[in-house]
Amino acid sequence: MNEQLTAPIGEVPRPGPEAGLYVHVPFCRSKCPYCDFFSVPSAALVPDWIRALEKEARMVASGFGLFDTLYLGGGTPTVLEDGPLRRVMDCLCRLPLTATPEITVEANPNDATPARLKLLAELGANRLSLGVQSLQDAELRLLGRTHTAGDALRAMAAIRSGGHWNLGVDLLFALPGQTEREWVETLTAVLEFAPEHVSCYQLTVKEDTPMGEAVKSGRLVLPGEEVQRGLLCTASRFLEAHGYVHYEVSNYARRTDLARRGPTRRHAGPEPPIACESPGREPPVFDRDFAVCRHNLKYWDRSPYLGLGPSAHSFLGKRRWWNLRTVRGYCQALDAGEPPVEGEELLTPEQEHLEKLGLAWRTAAGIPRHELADNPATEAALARLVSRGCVRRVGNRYVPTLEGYLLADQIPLLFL
Amino acid sequence: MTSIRNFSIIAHIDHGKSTLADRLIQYAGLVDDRQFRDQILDTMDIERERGITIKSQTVALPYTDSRGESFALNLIDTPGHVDFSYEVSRALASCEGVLLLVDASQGVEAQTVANLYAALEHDLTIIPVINKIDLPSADIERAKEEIQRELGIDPESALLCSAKQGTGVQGILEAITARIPPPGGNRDAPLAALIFDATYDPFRGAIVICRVFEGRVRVGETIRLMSHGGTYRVEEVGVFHLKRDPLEELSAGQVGYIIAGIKTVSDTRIGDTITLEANPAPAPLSGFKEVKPVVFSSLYPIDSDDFLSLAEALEKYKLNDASLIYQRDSSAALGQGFRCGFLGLLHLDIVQERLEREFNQSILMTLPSVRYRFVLKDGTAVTVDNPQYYPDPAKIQTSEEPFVKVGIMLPERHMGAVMSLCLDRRAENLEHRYPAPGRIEITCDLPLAEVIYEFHDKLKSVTQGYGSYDYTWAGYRPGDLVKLDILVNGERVDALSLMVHRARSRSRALEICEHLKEEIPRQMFKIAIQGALGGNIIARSTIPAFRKDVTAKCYGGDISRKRKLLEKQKKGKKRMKRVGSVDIPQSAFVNVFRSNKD
Repeated sequence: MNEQLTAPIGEVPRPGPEAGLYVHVPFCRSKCPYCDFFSVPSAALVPDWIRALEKEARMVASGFGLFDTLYLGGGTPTVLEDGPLRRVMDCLCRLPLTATPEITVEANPNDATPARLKLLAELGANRLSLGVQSLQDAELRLLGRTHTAGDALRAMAAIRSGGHWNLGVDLLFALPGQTEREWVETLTAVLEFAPEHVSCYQLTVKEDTPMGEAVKSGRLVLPGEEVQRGLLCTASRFLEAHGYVHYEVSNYARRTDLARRGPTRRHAGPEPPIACESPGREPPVFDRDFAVCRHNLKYWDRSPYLGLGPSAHSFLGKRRWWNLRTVRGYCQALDAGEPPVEGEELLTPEQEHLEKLGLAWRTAAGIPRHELADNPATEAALARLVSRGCVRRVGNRYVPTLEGYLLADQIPLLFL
Repeated sequence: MTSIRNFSIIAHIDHGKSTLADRLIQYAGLVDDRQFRDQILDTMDIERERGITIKSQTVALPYTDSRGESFALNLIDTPGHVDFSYEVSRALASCEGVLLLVDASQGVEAQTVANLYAALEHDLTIIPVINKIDLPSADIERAKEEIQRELGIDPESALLCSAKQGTGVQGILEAITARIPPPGGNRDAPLAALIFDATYDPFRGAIVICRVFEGRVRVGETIRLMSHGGTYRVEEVGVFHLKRDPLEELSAGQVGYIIAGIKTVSDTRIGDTITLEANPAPAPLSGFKEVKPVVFSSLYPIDSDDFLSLAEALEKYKLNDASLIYQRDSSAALGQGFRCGFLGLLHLDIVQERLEREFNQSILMTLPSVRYRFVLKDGTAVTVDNPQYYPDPAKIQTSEEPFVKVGIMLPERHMGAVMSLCLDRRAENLEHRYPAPGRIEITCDLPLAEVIYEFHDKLKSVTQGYGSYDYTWAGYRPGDLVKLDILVNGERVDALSLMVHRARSRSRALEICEHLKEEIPRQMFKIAIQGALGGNIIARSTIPAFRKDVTAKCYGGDISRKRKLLEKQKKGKKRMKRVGSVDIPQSAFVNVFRSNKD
């Protein structure tokens, strides 16, 4: 299969030098059995955590200049009560931000009440990432989610009816027993709300989780490689046919020239021309023509980002570092006036190259030729990839096709 | 001279030879009990671990018999494996008698018989000893019966002992002095000493271990090694009391060592005759022959950068092992290496283990091969042990492969399985007989190539460990030989080529194709594995391509993780061998080749 994606390619201008800011809210109402993100299912430590967060922000943010994205993730950020939520947002918005930052808050459907949404908007949030996961009740139960399909639909309706939100919907596929039909049903129902952004993540079950145990013991059977592939392709084709661009392995952005409101608006007609094929037309910038998630792009583009909170990761220049995982550990370090850092690494040029190589095939931007070695072996590898239909050459860049996305972890091996 | 006795202990594997040797040494008081280490003669780690003797070592045991007479009992410890049969025969030639050990619970086994025949060939006095009488499963009467029927020896002459517990040891020593004749020889005759072993000492060079048959040798004299005429000045002579014990002279009847500035053991030959340059013996002692390797394999460093290190290691190894031969070799897949000749599979295993363990080498060895003979249409004869040099089939008139005569001892209930095993391996002249109730002896002629391919493991497996075998050379016989090539995505992997009998070619090809399918990991592109005879594909397997290999999420900490994986994969790739566009891990080579352990 050779499918070309309709993603914008050509010279993708780097998002400016501004950094991204991520805040890890380590609290959830209950732990989902498949998740290994760090969180605690109790709100007792919230006050301590907020105090510590404020300290951390004061301590470390100065090295980064302006932030142009803020992302409140976790855990479940919307588990915070109004007061604490206000305090957190105030703290973050006091940091140096650009004029039009993208401010995302992750939310669970049951927390997306009109009152909450109003507060979030007041506090400066302009983007929501809604953890819908599925619109099949049986699947939601399997996933241990605390909401039903109905709850999710209501939440999306509420979001659409009040305020101007940039809405991203998170979905999971390759669930035990999931069929193509159920998947398409979920996608179809989500598209009724014309979200700006859809993420389709393959369910990844980590070993040390309850679901991991269930899989290991054979109680739960995950779909095999062919089914996984099929579901990912279905999502890609379905969403692309409905006006979304598959710009990263698991992420889709809607063309902003399509109407946002109203049900079942489908994009009809031929695909827009690829930028480099119509000279004279300015190459599209990701976030102007497509509702991409600017924050996440920073990870894939190796822009700087600061992660606050337990277990959060940061990157600046050649340094990567990450915070202590536990809330207590995090708070204690900051109480003692220390940065709550658990570890760090300084990247060598070789390591930087490997990072770029590993990321290249995951986004529509691909990789410029000059980032790869200049030798016959590399040329041969590129030729093989092109003839296999995984990669295509556009100008001086090599970009993945859908097949390339599917094999994004294999492709780098050809260049090692 | 009347007070010397030269003897050896011969036995089937694990029948207690080394333990008995320990007890004799202990009894002779050569070592303080506190210092005593079990099986002290087996100084090599591998020997200890496997419970076998590889390097034979000699020790002179002082003993005073019941009448108060003093003796020097020279125990010549012999290697216990068929690979080293020539060494065994030279050691036996240096003795006047042997203790023939029989395990009281196992009875007479394949090598007991083989060893007995060797001893009889040298006209040695045989003292049967029934060992392990302490075991609950010991059946002394049955053992005696087998000694009579199988070995044709008067069972009443058998001694009983438990080497482990130390009972019967004195009786054995008495019997040695009483029954084994003293050595003959005239100390005034021209020197004729038989070399039956040699070891290497980094400070002194080669230490020659010999039995003096005629004459005597002293420090300062010049000796000549008769097989190649090399002369050397004697620096030291002596006997072994576990350590070297220098003497003024070694004379007829004695067993000991000579140090004469000989650089390496390769300058010496087992079975050679030492004489004096000034007064040489008229003829060498009989029985000398150049030992020829029988099993061949190519050796490669796992990391091609380590080639020089391997070359050095082989040189050092050879200082102490004259029977290993090697020369440069190379493979497109595996790089620079060496083609080596071994006395047998055990020898091959030992060389590999010692290189890995003592010399710290990481090595790959190719499939062991025997040496084939071809007569070409133009009349020339060639011998080939390396598949790379297999002649053009169009030019071959006749091809021959080496055969061995195999004797297998097994319990009756496994007869069918073992017969099948032999027939599967192209056995000829298959016969069987019943040496004892419940026991069968199967004899047949087998191609040596079949014996070195998994025969030992399969025999042990179908007889639940009770089967044992021995074999002797039976010459070359015609065979329809072909060269099997293995191709990966159409490219020949030269290191995997092998010569095989046509009848076995398909099954071997299938096995290797299946094996590689297990060992080579999936890649982005499909991998076709084929076995071919010339242009004909006779077997195949396919490794399907990945249809999907991508992580769902890549944020924050995932990027480090992903990069670390790539770093690891990059390192791993360096250790792979590239054939065409396919990276083959070392394990694919190692495991295909290691299916032949003896």
